[in-house]
Amino acid sequence: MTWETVIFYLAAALTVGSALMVAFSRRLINAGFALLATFGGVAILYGLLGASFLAGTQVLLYIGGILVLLIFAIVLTKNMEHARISMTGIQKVLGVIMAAVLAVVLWISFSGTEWLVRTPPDFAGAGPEGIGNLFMTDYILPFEAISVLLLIALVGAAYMVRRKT
Amino acid sequence: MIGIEHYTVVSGLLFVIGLTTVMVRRNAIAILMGVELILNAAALNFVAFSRFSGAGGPGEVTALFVVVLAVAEAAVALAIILNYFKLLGSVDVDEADLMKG
Repeated sequence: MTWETVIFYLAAALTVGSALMVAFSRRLINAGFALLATFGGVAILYGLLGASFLAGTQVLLYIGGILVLLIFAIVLTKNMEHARISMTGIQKVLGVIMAAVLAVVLWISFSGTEWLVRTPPDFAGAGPEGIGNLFMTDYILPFEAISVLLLIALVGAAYMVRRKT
Repeated sequence: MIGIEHYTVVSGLLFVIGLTTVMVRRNAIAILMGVELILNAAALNFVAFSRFSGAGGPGEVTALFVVVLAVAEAAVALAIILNYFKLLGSVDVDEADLMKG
């Protein structure tokens, strides 16, 4: 067992375990903090894949941005931090059955696939410089489109929560 | 040796758990958390496949697009949820039937 294997299994267990907590914990605020561990685990996996810039972005934007927004929303909605997220029985059963069916389908297609690449090729990751070059050359159109979309989304969000006069 | 199958399994599990969250929860904020899990699973798959095909750049760029989209989606969705909470005093999606015809 190399250190990479050990770290991978720890990160995978952290990710999947805390994701299960997000899905099934009884209090909403616990689900919110479990999401922190999930995002952290995914960031570690990105690091193992050589995408260190992406791992940093994941921590900054997901943990520092989205998670803070979510927890703000939980705290701002009155009594929500202690809210029991009631699940009706039939809905829970049907949801779990649907998810199990999807898992089986995914497993069938997964085990029927012949993976051509078993070992990662020698490659150190694109790094911030390579990503910046890609954004400014091959991906310039999606980059501009997503800039406009981000602007529209933020203006829209600010408009929706403004104080009505 | 950690191969691409390992990352695919983790990503698949994350996706299934996210879908379960979306379907099982009734709280709008909890459903949003499930959507974030699904987006993370998809982005992880992009990065893993890109890494094991020998060119990490395109997968990382796609994952960055996913992150930005998730931020925009979370901002708009939370604005809607807060408005909805001001209107009805609850964030239960089962009660959101104001637009029912």
